[in-house]
Amino acid sequence: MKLIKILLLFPFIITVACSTLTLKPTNFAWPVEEVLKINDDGRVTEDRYAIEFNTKGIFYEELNDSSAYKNKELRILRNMNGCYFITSEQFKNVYVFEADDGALVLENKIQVSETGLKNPALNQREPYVELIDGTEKLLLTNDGIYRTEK
Amino acid sequence: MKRLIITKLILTILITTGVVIPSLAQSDYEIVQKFKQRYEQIEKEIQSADSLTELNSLIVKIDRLRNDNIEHKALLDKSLYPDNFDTSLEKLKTHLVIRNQDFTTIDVLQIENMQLKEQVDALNKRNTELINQIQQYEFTSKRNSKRVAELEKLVAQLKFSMKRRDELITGIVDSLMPQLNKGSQQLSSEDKNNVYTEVEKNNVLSNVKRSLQDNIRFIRVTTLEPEDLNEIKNQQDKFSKFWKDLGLKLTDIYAENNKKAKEIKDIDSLFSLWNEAVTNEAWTNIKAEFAYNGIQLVDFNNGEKFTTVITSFIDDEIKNIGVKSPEESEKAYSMFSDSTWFRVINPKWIPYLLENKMLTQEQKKSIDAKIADWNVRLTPASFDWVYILVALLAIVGVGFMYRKRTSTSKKTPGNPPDKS
Repeated sequence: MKLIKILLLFPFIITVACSTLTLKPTNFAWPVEEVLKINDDGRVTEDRYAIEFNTKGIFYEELNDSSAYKNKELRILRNMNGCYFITSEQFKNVYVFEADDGALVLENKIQVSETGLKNPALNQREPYVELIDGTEKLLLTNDGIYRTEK
Repeated sequence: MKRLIITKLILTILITTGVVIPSLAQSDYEIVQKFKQRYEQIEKEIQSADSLTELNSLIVKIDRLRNDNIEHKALLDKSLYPDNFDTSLEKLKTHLVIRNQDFTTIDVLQIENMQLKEQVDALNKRNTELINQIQQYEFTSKRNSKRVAELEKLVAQLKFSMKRRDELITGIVDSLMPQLNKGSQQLSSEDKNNVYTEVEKNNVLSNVKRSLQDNIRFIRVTTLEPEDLNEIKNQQDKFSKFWKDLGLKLTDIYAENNKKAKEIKDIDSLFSLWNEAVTNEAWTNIKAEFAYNGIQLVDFNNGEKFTTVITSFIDDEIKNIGVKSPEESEKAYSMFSDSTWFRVINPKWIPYLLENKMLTQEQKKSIDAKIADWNVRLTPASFDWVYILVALLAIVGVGFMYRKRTSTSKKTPGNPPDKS
């Protein structure tokens, strides 16, 4: 009986011993969105948080034109979970990305407008990200729209 | 009717204040950007403020910036990295205080400058009066000891006054043109404009010119001793250095103004004239010392000519030995050597000439050798008489001895007979 008990405890001990060290809670939230000018190569660089990426893919996804980035600005805000919310003028969606090994990987694509955003802005409203466009306000999470306000 | 107007008015107010129309949602990013823009605007206004009043009005703007954004303090604290809401506003106030100090300093400097300008004008006037007085004294009588004492007093006053005026001019330039102290850096066009304005406002060029002219005139109307000339040389070095720095920059600033560029060239020439006047003063005074003792020399203005003139004078005198009466030759040597060269020139002027590289050691040695030669050539003529006198005395002595001996022999006519 004693031996059975020890055998039953063994996988638990193994699991605890092998689990990754995790620091919780961690807040990744940026206080305010960054509005980044896209350079001629389609790249954006953010100095304060030191992030740089290519935007051609997101423009192709949104407008079916990978060169549509020219003379555009990208609005980006990281929420408390560490996801990047990205959108721009004329976009119908807000893109939610997660950081991965040298890449931003799309986690969710949230449709926020039928006709395209006119003057979008992202605000940090923990635990949500607020999207405003003119008089419209949407509260977003990684999963989608939490609430619409007018 | 009245009611309708009031209703319209109320509606207008409601519309304009956004009560009726749903207000636009505000972006945090916009709030931060607007704060930053207003901050930068105030910062610029602080830097460009032209007066204390203008600067003080910005205190209100800073307070308004605080009040308008206090509700966003939490957002701004996080977003104004590496500062926060409070430190940003504190920074603005610090800028304001520093700028305020600039104004206070400028005010003090401007008052000081006005006083300096008045002093320079007064000194210019006083110097002219003194120079004129000295000129009159120099022309009247140098033999009158009372007049000489008065003259010396006036010269001392004038020297002090001119030195003070030169210091004031350099003071004005230093206090009002900090841009000039930027070393070898190229002046920006703004700096150039500032310097131009200040130079014009303070009559810097005409004051420098006036100072140089007075210095030259002072040297011309006075008889200066080597110590005075040394003092002037020091003053000249300082003033030349000051002008070297200023002049170069002014040449650049006035490059497109022909009249002013000419004035700067004139000042450069005056500096050369001043230099020349100091150098000539020494030679003129040395010549005057010889003339005072009745020795008329040809003009000289450098060490080489001086040596040549002195050497040829001595050569002439040596040639004249035997032609002139011995008394005359003796007198010429005495006046040249004892009364002038060894009494005045050698102790007073030769060290000055050597120190200022106006005469070389070789040239001095050659003059000394010439004087010694002159002395030697004069001496045998004087000693001839002594030899003759000694010879005569010897002959007389021998003659006297001979006669005495002869007379003794006559008194004893023969030798006593031999007794053996």
